[in-house]
Amino acid sequence: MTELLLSESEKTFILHGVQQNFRGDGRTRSEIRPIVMETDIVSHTNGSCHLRLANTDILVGVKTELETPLPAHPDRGRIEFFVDCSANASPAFEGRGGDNLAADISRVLARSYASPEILNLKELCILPGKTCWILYVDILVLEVGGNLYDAVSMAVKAALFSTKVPVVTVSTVDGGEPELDLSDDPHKATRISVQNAPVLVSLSRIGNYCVVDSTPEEENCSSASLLFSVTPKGMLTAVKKIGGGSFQQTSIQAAAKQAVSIGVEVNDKLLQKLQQEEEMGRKREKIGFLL
Amino acid sequence: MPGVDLYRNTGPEGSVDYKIYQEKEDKNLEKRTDRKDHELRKMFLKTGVISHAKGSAFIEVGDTKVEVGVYGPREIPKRSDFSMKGILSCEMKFAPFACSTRRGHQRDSEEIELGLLLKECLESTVRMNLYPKSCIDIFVTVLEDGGGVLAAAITATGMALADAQIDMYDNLVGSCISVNQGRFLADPSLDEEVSCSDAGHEQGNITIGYLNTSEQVVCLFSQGVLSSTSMDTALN
Repeated sequence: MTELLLSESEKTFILHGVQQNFRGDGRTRSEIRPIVMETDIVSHTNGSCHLRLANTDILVGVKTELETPLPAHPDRGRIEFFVDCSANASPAFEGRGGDNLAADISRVLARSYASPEILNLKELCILPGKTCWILYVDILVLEVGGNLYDAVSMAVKAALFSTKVPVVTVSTVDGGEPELDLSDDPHKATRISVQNAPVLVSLSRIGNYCVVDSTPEEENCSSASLLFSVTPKGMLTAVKKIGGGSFQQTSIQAAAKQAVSIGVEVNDKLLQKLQQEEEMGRKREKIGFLL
Repeated sequence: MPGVDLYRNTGPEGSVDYKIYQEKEDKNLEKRTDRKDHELRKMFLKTGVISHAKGSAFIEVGDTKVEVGVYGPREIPKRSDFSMKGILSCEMKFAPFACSTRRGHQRDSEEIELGLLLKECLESTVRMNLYPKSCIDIFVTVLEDGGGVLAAAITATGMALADAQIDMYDNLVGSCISVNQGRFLADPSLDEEVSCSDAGHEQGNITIGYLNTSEQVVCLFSQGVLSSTSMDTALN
């Protein structure tokens, strides 16, 4: 995305490194860079997460609002993804430049979370046909350091985990219009189950091998990437090829296996860490942006 | 707000498709009545349908009708896009009456995504190094969605590019498979594609763009929940 100029020797160096399973920063082909994240840092949201994967910086805010359900699905709530590629992330994103990428990421997320098995939207319904919760997931890309899709999906999952949906009860229906009561206790809230929420794993093809979590230099060398959305159970909810290269059928199958094993592990560790953070309680010291 | 149409009078916002109030008839999807699981629907392909375009193609597969027009190679409109390799631009649009529910006139995010997907699919197919400093524009219009739209669009685009006499590495075809409860249905119709996935079983669709002779997959797109073994079998 940024103006990265690599010489032929640099590209060859990266290619050889990938072949020998020893990349520029010492990682193997299946290793991911360190991730630092924190949830619940934006005060005006119902859930939020700030995630930093090496140089990629993502901020996600989840807001819950009351809305009428879609006529086709009166017993379900809704979830909408909006991505904003900030111009700070890359000069290419200035003005309308980042719009195509943003639309792409939000579509992939929407497809990954579309299945009813992933997110139980029926829990978000308050009164069928009349009121439901709609989750607005707003993603802000602050910096791009390679591997954008993966970082965004992890941040979204973490933000949804930390989302506190207020408890709303319906009291008597007064003349056709239901009365909604919000609980008096501001800390009383229901949580969304993200047990089945997927994480995106993108594998970039460099030479004959696929690498996970590519740096911008490696992305420059790769002809194409495969994006897999992997649930904790190892199912694929969305698969996409990105970039202008082509794949052999056997390479795709091998990449799928690799992605599933990595995806399951990432999901596992992510949930572990989120639960650890949760146990620290409400009184934990918030570090915010001084990561 | 993205997709807000400022130039057209789009009609009242609160309108709703009447079909949601209809009793949903339980379509029997246990068995295909008109063909076997691995059989494709009858296809009609014609090139040269748009007289103004350099190349064009029309494809009709079952109920799905897609039209593609190729313009170019022509001069790059913006100097800033100068490239010795040539650029491809691909736009996909569903006609408002194409699907069961009416679509707007502006391109929504699904159409933008499919357009980008098609463009990336063509980047390995078209010999862009033979068209420096030029751009090739491809416009895809879906006239009716009867299932397997992306696959039909890929096939039609390959034909339209051939009709426009643009050099390519290989024949491009698109194909689509729907996985439903362990059954692999080739070239699914709309019902089979969108069958209700409330139950816990696997249900999904995979579309690929394929180069025949060199056996390369240039486009891969999937929706729904699948296990990796199903994906393997479906690709085969």
